[in-house]
Amino acid sequence: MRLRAVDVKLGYGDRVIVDGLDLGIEAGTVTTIIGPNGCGKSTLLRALGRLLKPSGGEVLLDGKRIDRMPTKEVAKILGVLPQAPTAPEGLTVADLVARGRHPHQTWYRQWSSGDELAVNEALSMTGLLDLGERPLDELSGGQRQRAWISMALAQGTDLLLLDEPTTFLDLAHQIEVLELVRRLHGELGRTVVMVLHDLNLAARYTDHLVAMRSGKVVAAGPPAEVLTEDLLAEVFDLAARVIEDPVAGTPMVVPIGSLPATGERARRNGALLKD
Amino acid sequence: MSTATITARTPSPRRGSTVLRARRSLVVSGLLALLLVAVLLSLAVGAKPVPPGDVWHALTGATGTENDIVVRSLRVPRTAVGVMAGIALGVAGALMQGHTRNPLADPGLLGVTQGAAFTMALAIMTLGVTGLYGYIWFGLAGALAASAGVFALGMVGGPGGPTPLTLALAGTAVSAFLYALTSALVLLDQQAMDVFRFWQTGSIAGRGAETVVQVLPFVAVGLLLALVNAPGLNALALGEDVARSLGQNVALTRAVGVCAITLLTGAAVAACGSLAFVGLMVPHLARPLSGPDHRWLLPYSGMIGAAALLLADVAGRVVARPGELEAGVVLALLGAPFFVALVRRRKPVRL
Repeated sequence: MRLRAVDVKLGYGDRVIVDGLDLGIEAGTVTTIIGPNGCGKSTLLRALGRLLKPSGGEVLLDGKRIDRMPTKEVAKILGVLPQAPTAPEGLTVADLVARGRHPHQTWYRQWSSGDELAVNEALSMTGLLDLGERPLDELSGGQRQRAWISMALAQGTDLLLLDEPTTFLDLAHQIEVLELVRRLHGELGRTVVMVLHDLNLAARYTDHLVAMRSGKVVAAGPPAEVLTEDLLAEVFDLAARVIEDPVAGTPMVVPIGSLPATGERARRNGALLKD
Repeated sequence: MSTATITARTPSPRRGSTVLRARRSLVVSGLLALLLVAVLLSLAVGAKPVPPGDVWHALTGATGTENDIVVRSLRVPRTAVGVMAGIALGVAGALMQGHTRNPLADPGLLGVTQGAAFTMALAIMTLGVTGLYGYIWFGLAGALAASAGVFALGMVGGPGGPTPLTLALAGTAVSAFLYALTSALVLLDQQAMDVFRFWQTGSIAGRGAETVVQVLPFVAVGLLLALVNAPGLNALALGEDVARSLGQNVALTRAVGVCAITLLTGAAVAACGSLAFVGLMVPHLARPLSGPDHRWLLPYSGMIGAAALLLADVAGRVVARPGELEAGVVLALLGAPFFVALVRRRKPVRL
């Protein structure tokens, strides 16, 4: 197990979002965290990437407490791409990707042939070699997201945490980004943890699905086991049919309508019982 | 897609490539030439014009002629102060805009300028300090204290260290408070008022070699910290989360940046008065030449800052003969419309 959250308590200030959560990430898998807005999935991802310090419990990277490791050492093992990152105007794709080499540089050695090689590989892996000199702001949304992933790739880490990498992208560009994630996993053997909103895409591109609600892990396992009609009701308050995706054979969610919130449903069931 | 098919699959020029290197060296030599011209003009032009031959004579083998004395005792220190303050303010401005990710931030945002003004006014009033050299120390102390106060106030917000927003808010509040105190002081004391008025305009005239020696260590340490800060600032430009993910210690980077800005701005304003406009304007001139890489933006801003301050000073000596216009006045008069034009021509850069 490469990355583990043990009994973590997470929040901002006094507001607790996640309490007593355990999660393990196996090496060489693609894990996707799903759940309704505000369930704490991004918060959990930030904690796994040591961007947020747990107020209780611990996050272990290769068995060592991540907050006690030098941040630069962590940056050589683990890369995090936050939601909708921003770059200064005029920054070119190649310059952005080159900044991914930051943890490998020191103030006296700013650029090496190893850096050059890693940047070129990252650019070619993401299909951006020809766009290297283009400013980031001139690219399409999908290309821009690929450039950011390329930066995280140039960082040369085994583990990649991606927070909603497909947000704001149209369907074709979402597929483009997820195909890339699949190649990172298949060809480079990277371990990927991401947060996604689209359940059907999550089912397709994931080995391990983690469903969260109100800061708790409700279910975890292969998509075919996790993505059931009962789970959708429990986690998303959603009435839906789950059928087999005719293309990929993975579970596919066809929504019917929203259900009353779980609490209300429980109350109503209680009322029914009394009658 | 169309560009991808048109462009041949040639490796694009990147860092280390000869094209880029040639461009860099061209820009660097251009800026050095500009700075050299500014220095020579500053030595030769003035109420008493000195021909270039005499300037050379004064610098290489002075024999005590009138021109030798003018150049060596007046123009050389004045030019040296201008170069130093210009570099300091240019670099501090670029650092400030980088750390706050705000293109309209100036180096006075941390309360440095008002801190210096307040302690100077206080020193003049209560201790009767009169000489320029005396109150530079007080100015420096005030600048450092104000900046430390702003940093501490900015930290109150949360455990993650001060953010650009809390720093800017704290800086504005502290500046306004100190400005009110300073106004109250100078209204009570005629002598403080006189000195303060002069100082507030910003000038590099009448500073002797001693001023250079006094503020040089602060500028040197400030520039060293700025140099160390540049790669971290590049990481921070991608947002705090990405910077952390790249292994950058965000709080430390900010602290080093604030120290550098404080030392550079504090030294410059203590020696020359309020010239913060240099710090606001110069990075916008440097950025089109350097791109968003702070390892180049900072040195370019320094060179352009020095050239701009000297040229403004020279212009001030020429336009109002036989009198002089303060460099700060010239900078504001010429710089403000120029800045407006710059902002109108291209959208202000998002940082």
